[in-house]
Amino acid sequence: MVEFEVPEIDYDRYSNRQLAGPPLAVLGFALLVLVVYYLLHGTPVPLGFDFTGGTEMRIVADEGQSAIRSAFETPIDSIRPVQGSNEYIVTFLDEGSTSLQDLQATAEAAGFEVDRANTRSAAFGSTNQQNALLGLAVAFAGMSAFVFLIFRTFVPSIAVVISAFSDIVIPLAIMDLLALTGLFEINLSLGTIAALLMLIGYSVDSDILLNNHILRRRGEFYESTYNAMRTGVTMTLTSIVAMIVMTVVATLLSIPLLPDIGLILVFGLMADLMNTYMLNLSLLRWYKFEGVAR
Amino acid sequence: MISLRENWRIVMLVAFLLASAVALVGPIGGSDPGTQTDFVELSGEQQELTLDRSTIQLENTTLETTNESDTIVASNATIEVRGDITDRTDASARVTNGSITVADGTLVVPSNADISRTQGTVGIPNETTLRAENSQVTLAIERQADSGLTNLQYGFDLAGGTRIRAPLVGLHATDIDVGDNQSREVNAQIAEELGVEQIDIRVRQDTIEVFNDDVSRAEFASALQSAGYDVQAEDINNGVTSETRENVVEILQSKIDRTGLSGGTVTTVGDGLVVVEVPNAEPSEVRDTVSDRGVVRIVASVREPGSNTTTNTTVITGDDIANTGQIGPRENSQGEITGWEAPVTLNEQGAQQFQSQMNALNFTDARGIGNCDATGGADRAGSYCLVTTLDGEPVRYNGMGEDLAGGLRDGSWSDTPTFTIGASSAEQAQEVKISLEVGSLPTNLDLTGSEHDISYLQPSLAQEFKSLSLVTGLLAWFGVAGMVFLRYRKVRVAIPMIFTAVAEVFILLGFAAVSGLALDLSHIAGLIAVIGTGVDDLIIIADEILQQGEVATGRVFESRFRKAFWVIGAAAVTTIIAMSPLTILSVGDLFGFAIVTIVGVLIGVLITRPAYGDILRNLVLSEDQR
Repeated sequence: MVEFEVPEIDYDRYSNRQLAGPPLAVLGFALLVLVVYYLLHGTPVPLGFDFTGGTEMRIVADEGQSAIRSAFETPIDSIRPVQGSNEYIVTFLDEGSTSLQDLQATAEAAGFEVDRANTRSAAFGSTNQQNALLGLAVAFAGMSAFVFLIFRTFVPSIAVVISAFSDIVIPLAIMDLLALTGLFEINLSLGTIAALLMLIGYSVDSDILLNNHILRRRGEFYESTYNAMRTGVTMTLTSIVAMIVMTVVATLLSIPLLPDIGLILVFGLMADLMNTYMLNLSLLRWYKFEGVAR
Repeated sequence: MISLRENWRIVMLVAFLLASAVALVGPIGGSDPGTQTDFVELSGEQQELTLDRSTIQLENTTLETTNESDTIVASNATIEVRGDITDRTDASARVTNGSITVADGTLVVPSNADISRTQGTVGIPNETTLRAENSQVTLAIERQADSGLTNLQYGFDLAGGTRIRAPLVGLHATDIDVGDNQSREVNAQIAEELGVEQIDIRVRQDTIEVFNDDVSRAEFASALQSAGYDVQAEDINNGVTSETRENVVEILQSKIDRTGLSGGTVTTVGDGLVVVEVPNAEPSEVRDTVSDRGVVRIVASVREPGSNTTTNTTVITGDDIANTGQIGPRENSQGEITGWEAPVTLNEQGAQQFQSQMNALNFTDARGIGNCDATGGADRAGSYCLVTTLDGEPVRYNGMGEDLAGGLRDGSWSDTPTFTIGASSAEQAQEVKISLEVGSLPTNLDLTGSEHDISYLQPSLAQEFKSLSLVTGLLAWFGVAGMVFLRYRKVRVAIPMIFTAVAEVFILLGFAAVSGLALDLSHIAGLIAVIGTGVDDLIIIADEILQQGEVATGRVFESRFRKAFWVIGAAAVTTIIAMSPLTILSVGDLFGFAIVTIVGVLIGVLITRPAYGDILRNLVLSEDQR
């Protein structure tokens, strides 16, 4: 049986600068990626059907992509194969109930089976987008206010808030990088928004745990850190495993929505491991040994 | 002996688990499983269909065709069912494929069945067999749905069908001081100003609404100004008032129930969107139902002899009608079907008005009787038609009948004011009938502009998602269990932990069953997320209690437990804060996800996680240490 024991890291060997540097560099790079993507495409992240509007159909086509292209006269925006099946998700920029009906009829006339079909006006998409962004912002602000309320000191609180911010930005930047390199496309959908909100919760979990052990308990700094890490790393790894399983299984079974949520959470939780035990920890150590002493 | 008082948290968990089990599988009142449709094809081999459940389910059975030619004709038949019999009651057998003529065949109801036929309805009160010989008929039998294994309801993602989300057509202005008993005059005045019909305006208390796509905010504001109200274009709100919206939802729901779109639901979500979900239906079937207002009118269309112009007067509106009867074919003397009709009875006021208008417009004398020629030119004699209009479109022209004219002339008709509304097809007649019964919609769903969204998902695929997402959840849970075992290596710590996590999901499902929450994929994601946070918190409890040296006494245990709870509580509040904006903002399907997560966290913090603490205490403390 595999040993699973959280390793004890000799933090003494690293200065605060050495610890905080890499996570901050990654955060900076992630923000840069978002800016670059914004300059290239007009949005900070690739937007999915939920936010853009248009018409989307999932069809069964044994003949493949070229057959789909030749079947429709309406310009096709994109065709994405569904993993592990002969199904494709085809999107069109046209929207409205009549185009849905026409496209569905065209698909059926060409011998494709239509599994699902959606049409959404661009206005609906942009309302969704605004509300989703607003929701995310309010959630983040609420979380920050709550963290400040329970710790009542600036440095430990801001450490939690920066970590959480970075945990959200890094998965978004990964989405951009994947889209820019054309490797794999995850678009911002309602599912990914849900995942980002979940990330706020997950991320703050381990941060609060660490802060709590270090600030509110007796005991030596490194001992408290190790105790918090043993619990926190186990928690995060367990969640990562659950999300990897969900992503892989849902992808294999071609269930929509779940893989998007899972993947974003996997990225975010991995970023959280780095942010909590490098960035947050170094800020706490600085606060405990130098900030308080001043 | 384990004391119940000390372990009340465990007792509470067990109580909740039992309650959830009852909620999930037990018979709970008020949960209506709706109807479900089974498609059965009757052809060559399989010519008999025994409706074994029919003793109960098929009482009031009706046959209905939903195609162009609305006739089921069984020529050498024991029973001739002619036409579209669509009085949908508890169950109906619906013939759905193409144009159906049971040509050489028979539609046989066995002789031992008690058959009654009233205006085309075949009532089959007992167990019975429908047989189509030498022909192919697909019957879609709707009956009370099997409620499934659980009382859980499934939403669009997991049930399939069609979902339409759209706002309602309309504008409204609030804070307008409409004098008492002035609303009729105000209504008429504003309709006149805007050049729209009076039914497009609604005046209620201090609010005036207009339901017409063509009226802009500026036009509405200037009409209100002309009527003497100080309203600017900026004061006009898009959309309709919540009263109107509720009204539309109510009417639309009964309309959908009667149209044979079984199991359809109509709800509203934030931002004033109306959501219509109909399992087992294609978008085209649902679209017309929600975008037509169903305004039925009988218009007297008069062209004087030699005149070029036609004068139209509305003589009967939906408000004049007290009740409607079964639709049926209209036959000529040779027994050929020339049209369809829906018999109605007018109310007293409507009857008086109709009677006097008919006499005044010369319908009841020699000029009017039987003299309907809508297409004729100016050189022809005059024309006196009663036109049935549906949403402003004429659907049928009929002349005044001899008998009716007589009754109207001498005034005896208004004692028994029955009238048959003409239609060209059975479908139209049915639409007229339903529109009259449920009332016309004050306004319709706006599927042409702004914000709408129409989705179709194949029901079989949705069914698949249901079981596949269960598999996904189970596997994720196994993954979590594996990690927990690897970390703790102690079965007595790990087993309660992973089962507590599952108990959380189980109670959450119980909550979903009780509250009638329709589960969607986003809820499934929420459930999996709850397993994640749940296990995280249990790990915090276990580590706090187990890893810091021996737990010597019950008091030490309590103190450690409290410390663990401080972290868990803080984390729970954060998650709730993060999710709460979604319960207010309308962001598509995320409402359900947020609710599931919040309730899940609450169940965890208040019920399951404390109980896990108690379980651990029992495991780590020997009896005298507690």
